[in-house]
Amino acid sequence: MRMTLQTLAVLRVLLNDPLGEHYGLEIAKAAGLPSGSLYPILATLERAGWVGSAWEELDEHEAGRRRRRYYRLTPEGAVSAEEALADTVRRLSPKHTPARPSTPPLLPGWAGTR
Amino acid sequence: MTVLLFILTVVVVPMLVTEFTAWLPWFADCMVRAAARTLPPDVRERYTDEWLAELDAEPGGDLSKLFFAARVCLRARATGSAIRGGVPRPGMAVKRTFDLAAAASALFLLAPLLVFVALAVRIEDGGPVFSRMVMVGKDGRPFRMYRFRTVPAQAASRPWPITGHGCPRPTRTGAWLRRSYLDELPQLINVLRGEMSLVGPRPAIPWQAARLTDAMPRRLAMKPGLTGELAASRRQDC
Repeated sequence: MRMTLQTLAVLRVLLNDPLGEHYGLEIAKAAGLPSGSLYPILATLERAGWVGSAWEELDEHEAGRRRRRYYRLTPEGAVSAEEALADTVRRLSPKHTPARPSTPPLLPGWAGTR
Repeated sequence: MTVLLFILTVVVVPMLVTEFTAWLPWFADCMVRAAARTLPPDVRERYTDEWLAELDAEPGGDLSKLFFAARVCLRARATGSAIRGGVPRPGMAVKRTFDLAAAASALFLLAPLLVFVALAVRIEDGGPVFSRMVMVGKDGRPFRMYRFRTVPAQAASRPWPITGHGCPRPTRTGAWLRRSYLDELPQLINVLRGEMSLVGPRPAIPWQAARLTDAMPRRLAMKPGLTGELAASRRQDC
């Protein structure tokens, strides 16, 4: 799966409360994403089996609103998400960026003089 | 007159505004349903319900509900391909945007020329302006490719061999159109319709495509183009 920053943001939100139930708007708001771009990400995650979804258990007539679709990390998804986040953190940390080669001497014989 | 204007501004405009605001939720509803209809059939119902519930949950006013619906619509294609398991290819969106912009401006700028050519084709023998051959597009989906008609009207109505014996002779206008490649310009319409792109492999003829699928599966992986590498490098053969 392609790890974009947006995907990572969604995973981060779901990991913060792995047992809770989250619906689309809530995730979008917490991840700071425009709600439209959330659904392709959730669909990708769901297809990959990282995330599962189920209808809210609610009597629509009594509550006077429609039931929501709730998303939650699957157990395997939670593990994979942790790994993906840790991996990104590792790759972005300055320690592991390769050191820049020191500037080469201007002319071969000048190495010591500068 | 002044009285009329007064009545218009004081009575009619507020009425229209109220009417419009009252319609906003309904309009957002329609947009969300339309977006869900572009998804694969087995998940259509689920996403309709899901997005309608999200609309309900949207805390802002009617206007922000409308914005939500618009965003869902804009990303419906991406959602669909994510559900189908397609790999998101942001490059393709850039290509499509370029296609749309370039094809629309080309059609606009070339409109006088196109009208002139259309008249010429029409006047020579009174037949239809376009020939609409069935070609095979992306993923083997057939589509009608627009072209200016270059052969006599009675020959254009039936399928003909492309080259060799029995291939109908082009009309005089037709021969000129083929030499100048002007007959291909209406394919800009196919580009606007999303069936073709500006750059890509040339669309496959059905009988060719039937053989292609085994030997060259990638030929049909992209939208066919108005021009492509082979068409540009070996003009005579294409």
